[in-house]
Amino acid sequence: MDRIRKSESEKKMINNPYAELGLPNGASDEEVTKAYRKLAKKYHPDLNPGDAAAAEKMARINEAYNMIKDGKTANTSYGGYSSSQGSSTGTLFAAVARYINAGYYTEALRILSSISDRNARWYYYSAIANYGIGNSVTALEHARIACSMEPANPEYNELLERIQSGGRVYSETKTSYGFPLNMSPCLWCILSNIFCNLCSLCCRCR
Amino acid sequence: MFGYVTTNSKSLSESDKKRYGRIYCGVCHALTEHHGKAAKFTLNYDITFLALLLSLIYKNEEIAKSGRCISSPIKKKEYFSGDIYSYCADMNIILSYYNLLDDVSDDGSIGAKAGAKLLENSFTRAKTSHPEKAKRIECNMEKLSELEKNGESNADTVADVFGDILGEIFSYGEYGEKLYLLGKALGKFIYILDACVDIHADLKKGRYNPLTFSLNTDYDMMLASLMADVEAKLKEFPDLYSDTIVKNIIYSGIWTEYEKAKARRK
Repeated sequence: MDRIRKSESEKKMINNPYAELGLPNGASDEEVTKAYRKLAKKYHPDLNPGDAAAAEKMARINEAYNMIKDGKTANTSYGGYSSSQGSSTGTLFAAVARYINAGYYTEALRILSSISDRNARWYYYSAIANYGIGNSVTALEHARIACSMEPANPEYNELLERIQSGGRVYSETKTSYGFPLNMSPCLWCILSNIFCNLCSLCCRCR
Repeated sequence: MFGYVTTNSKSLSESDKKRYGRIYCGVCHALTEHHGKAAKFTLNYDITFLALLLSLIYKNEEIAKSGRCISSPIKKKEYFSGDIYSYCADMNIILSYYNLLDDVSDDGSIGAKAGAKLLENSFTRAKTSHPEKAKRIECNMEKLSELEKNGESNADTVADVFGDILGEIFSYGEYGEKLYLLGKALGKFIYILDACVDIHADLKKGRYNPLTFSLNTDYDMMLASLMADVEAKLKEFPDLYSDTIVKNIIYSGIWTEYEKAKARRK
């Protein structure tokens, strides 16, 4: 993942998210979803383990999808999508930092969603704000991305450590409880499993 | 999405196995008593876990009985009975029914349609006993369906809605508010765990899965963080956190399906 993300910081910004998904401008939500899932089937790391190029492509696909969903496409013509200039991004980041310091995480996230150039600092701020509102899954993901984009940054590493600390402590206790292997059979266990299987015919316990 | 909250029975003591059995049978008997024989096929471990928690918190509500059943037709088995079990039976029905409806709207499953039809009367009875709760669960199920259909990319957003559903199910009695928070944390974990187990198949079949938006395929730490939250909410109840069956489940049993899925992938 490190190799993928290092090249990400040098990657070309997505000018036209629709084109990135192989769609015409203003494609419907349904078409976007369909195109996304078709591309995910092709490029997702889960189906392409160890394939750095596929992972890089998937990162762009996800970013394009999120750009469309974040509604930046409203009234925007592609082929001239305004890239955030250094100073205006700097101003926006300053605002994000102020909101985060004051604990106004939702506001911070609102501003972050308007920034299209997503560098390590963007992911760092996003991780903090998401963590603040209890979005622990997204916070962990974004902290990881920030660290892999700038591995030597102590701030980012400290944040990742902080976000992971709860899970680490839990994991230590979990290890002492043993690996959950197959259940030892007893008559009611076997029969209740049969019930579960019968029930899964109609319930389809996923 | 159900049945993850199991024990690691290999590590349970004999007395804990018996106690867990009485609770499981308690919910099963309550299902049969209040909702008929067909209802017991919907019995799931997650609701059994709820019955375990409630039995530990509200200690004075249990009566030990014994009876025969299909899994023990000759020897009578002991089971618990009382308001907790009636409540759990109702919640089991409500959850199963909405889940079946969800399956019907997802892919028109004939099995799900048949199952829903069978449960309809039971569901109406359960809904009448808990009208506001059922309404809130229904709203959240619709919200969840909408988010999944619209391809929501924020995993927390979707998982939190399922968390709210389980929170509502868990909220019972005097400690309802704290139980809601525990149910919510557990529900969030279950939803994400289910996504981890299904990601491979979902990608291949072009189905919605919030984890498609993550490039990281090692889910252990993410799941551990979510369980850390469940652990924290459990610690709010000293009677729960000190219980050996509860610990067996949250530190070992609950990982069974996930570890199986990981092993299959290797």
